[in-house]
Amino acid sequence: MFSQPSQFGYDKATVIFSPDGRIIQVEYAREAVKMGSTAVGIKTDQYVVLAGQKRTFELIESADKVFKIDDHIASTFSGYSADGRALLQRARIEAQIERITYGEMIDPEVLSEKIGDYLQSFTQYGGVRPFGIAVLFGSVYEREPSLYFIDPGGAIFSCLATAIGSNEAAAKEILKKGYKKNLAKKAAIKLAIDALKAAIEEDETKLIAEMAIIETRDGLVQVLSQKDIDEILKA
Amino acid sequence: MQPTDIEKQLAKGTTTVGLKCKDCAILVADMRASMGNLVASDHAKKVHQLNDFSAITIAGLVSDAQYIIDIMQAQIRLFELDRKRRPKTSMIANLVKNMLYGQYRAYFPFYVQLIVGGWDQTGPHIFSFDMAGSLSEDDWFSSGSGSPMAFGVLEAMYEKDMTEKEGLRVALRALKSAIKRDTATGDGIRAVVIDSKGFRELSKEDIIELGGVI
Repeated sequence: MFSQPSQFGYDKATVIFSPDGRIIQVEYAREAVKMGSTAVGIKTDQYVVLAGQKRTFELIESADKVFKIDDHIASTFSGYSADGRALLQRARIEAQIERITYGEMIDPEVLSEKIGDYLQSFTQYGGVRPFGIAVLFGSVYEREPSLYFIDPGGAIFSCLATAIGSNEAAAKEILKKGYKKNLAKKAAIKLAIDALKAAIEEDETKLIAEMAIIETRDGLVQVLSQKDIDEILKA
Repeated sequence: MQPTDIEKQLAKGTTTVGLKCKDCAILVADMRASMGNLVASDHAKKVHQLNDFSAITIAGLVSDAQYIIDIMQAQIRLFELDRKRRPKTSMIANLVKNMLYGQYRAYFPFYVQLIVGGWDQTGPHIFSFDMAGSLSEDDWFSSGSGSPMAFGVLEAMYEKDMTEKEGLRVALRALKSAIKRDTATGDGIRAVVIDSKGFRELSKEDIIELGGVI
């Protein structure tokens, strides 16, 4: 009955619900996420791995795909890269506000809620557009690994493993098959790379990935380049 | 009115003591509120509970102190609801510090000397502040007009890793010294212990038994 939401303008602003209860602008934002390069996150009992495909274009040097938010939190996103950088900057500031306010590192769950709240505000006020990105936060906090996925509407999900961006369904299939709670470091890295390879449309040998890994051992973010990843997988 | 006249109108004479033992934090204070030479109250409350595992002692301008306590209690309650966990004592101290510093930099410092005590997973803690928002973690501290007398006793008698009873005896002894020699301190004692079981206020009988006075 409501096959054409655009016919009545229900997709013109996030402040308007469509008659069947959807916020069409947020759904359009999810479409934008699906155009972004793929990223995956895996949480095991000892490691958190975030990995993303670095897209390369002729004569353009590829941009970063995984980011450090604080010593113990890493992040990656799919979608509009400018929106992503603006949101990550906000996440970094929230992490420092926590340090100034309480003198402590921020709990990744709290950070995810703060970012979720912020994204939500763009679905309820006029004159704004939602962020065209989905975000993953990976962290080890008080020796506990955590992985959060936040969608453009601000919904937060705690995940064992997930994928975002173009062809995410194919990556999720690989994660579903290969995921185990007790994966070793090398196996977790390999699973992340395999999931990315499944998602890219071109020749999979051309995958250039960037990765962040956090171990419960020290709880610190390490960012790995494709070269670093190759070395670990070869060893 | 000259500033000194105003100050005489304000309740501010006090002695409070905070002390760290092996397994608990102890906070004690007298109950007199003075306005210059007048005893404005003989049942003033100077040790306030912040949450189940922390408390604060106040000295100085009572209105400022009560306002800070109200804000801190609200902030801590919101923290606990948002995060389903208790803030560490050091986190509470950080909140107090920021509040004091912000006010100091607005050219109207809160006229208070505060001691925060609490227990968390890392053990018992005592934190002290000055009006400008500096923060230091201490084994023991005293504040208020009678603090010089209490300092002398604490300096001589404090030992690390005391039991709750030993710690209370030292804290009460320090406070009694101030009650004797400082005219703005007196009218009984309120004593609080915070350990792994949480906040607990001592009865009058307990205080007398441990060498305190009512």
